[in-house]
Amino acid sequence: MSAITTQTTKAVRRGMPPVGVMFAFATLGCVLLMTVSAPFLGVDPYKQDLMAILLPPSFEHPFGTDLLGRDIAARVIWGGIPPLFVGFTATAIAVLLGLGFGLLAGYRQGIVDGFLSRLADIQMSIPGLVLALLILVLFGASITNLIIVIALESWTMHYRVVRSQVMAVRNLSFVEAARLASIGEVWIVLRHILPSTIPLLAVTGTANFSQALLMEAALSFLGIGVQPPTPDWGTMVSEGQSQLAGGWWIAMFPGMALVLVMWSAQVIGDWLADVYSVRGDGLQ
Amino acid sequence: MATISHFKALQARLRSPIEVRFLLRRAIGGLFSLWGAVTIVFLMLYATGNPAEVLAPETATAEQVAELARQYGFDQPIYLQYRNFLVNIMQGNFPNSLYTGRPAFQEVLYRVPNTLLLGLTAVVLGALLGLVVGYVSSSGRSRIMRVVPIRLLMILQSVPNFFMGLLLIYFFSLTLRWLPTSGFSSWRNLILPITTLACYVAPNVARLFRSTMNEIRFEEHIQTARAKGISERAVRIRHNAINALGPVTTLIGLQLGGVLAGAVVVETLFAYPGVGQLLVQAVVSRDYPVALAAVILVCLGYNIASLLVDVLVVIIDPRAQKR
Repeated sequence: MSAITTQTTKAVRRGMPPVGVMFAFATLGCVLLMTVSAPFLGVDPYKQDLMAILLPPSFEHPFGTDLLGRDIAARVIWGGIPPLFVGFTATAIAVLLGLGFGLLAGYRQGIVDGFLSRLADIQMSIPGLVLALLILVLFGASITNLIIVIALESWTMHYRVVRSQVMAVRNLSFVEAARLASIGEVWIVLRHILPSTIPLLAVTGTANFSQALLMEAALSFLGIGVQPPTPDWGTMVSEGQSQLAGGWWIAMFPGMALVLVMWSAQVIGDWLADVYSVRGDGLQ
Repeated sequence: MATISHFKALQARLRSPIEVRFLLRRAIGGLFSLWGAVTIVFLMLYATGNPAEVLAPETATAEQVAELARQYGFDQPIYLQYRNFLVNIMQGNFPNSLYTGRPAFQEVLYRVPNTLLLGLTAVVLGALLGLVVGYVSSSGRSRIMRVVPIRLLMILQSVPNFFMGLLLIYFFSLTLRWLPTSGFSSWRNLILPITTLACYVAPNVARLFRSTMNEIRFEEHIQTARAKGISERAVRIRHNAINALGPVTTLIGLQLGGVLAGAVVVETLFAYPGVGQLLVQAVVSRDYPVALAAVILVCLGYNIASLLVDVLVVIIDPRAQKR
């Protein structure tokens, strides 16, 4: 290996994303399509067939059947609804919260910034899953509470990124020019500062989505999220744990579905971070 | 000889002084966050309505609930309650567990060593694996070495930890019958949970270590070292790798929350008697005193751990305290 090589700077890639990323988009798209169309496919995740319990994957039951003779394939298709719904909704709420607070703190600075930043510090000093456990046990486990809990936990990452971006941009000359032209503060923030935060939010949003998905699955796996018999990937893996020796397929297929979604979200997130040259690891 | 001099570079780092001011600032920040966390727990308990009803067993009569309310001062005005709550926490004074009848705080403390053993080993092993893979992917001799190990780790990263643990159980316990599936009777029980948790830590460490090493690879002091005629390998280890340790340590600090969450899931999956398993059991069986004690102790442990990691970052990279 030669000691001195020229440093290659990463060119901003435009146009078609690389093959791996296209593949990730396609995978995510397929899973989403399957999940959204679950109610129209005519598969029943609750139908029990006691004559066909614990059947291994076959032509009739592509993913096998569980202890109650329910078709795993149907349950995997339906089971994507809670995690994906919770993932998207919680991420959307968290992004909006983080964006709003971040713009406010970064633009106003002073007391507002001090207060919000301390709040974010406190929030981050409680480990996410632990806070979620506490809230869900005190206020009950429901999809709404799951979404609220996960959203409350993840707004800080958007907040930090947006805040530091606003602080970097707020005194640049185009913002000064807008201020000199006596444009209202709200309009300056929305029209001149907000757009520069969107690439950052694309990156943190993708990261947030896979975290939210993971959190929903983990809580459901622990029995504090989506309750059986509602089909849900995390709950299904937990049900499959006790049948692992007799029927590996019960846990394997919902687990693989989770891995597919997590993997595509991660590949897409890395690609976005690369394109916008943002580091998604929180170490700006 | 070469390896000895590599360590001298790190030793010199360890001798540089840590500013007292930095330590103080960080400690006060930690205390403040902890106070905030405890306050949030208090507010939530209060938001449910009557905390005494939450903390009393379900079979308790109205008088017993009132007695508990009086004992822990839930019948007093809220500011007094808040003060009592803080005092009780500082004294480790929680109501008894609704199931075992023993003090909740002791129930949790009793399990702390198990969780520490699991968590610390997993973080250390995961970080080591991450560092090795990160180093190889940045400085490996062949393209295969640089690409394959890190890609494999990246795939691991998208496997949720409970599923990862389940796969390990299926493969190593049920199919190969090498290791026990659950419980905690010998060191063999630790292997699978530690592997599962380490798989969470390693990928991010590897990624960040590689990117930091690549970023500073051509900085002037490193080029100077090359110009002096030091072997490429020594430059890589002494100047490139050691200088890239700071951000990685910070990352491990940021990931501690994830490790704790992972420990909760992994302990439950492997029926390992740690704080996390106790917390989940308490939550599922609505044993509120134990759940509260566990949440507060976990927050305490988490804050102490992040403080220690921040100090470690400064020891490894003294520039970090002047931000």
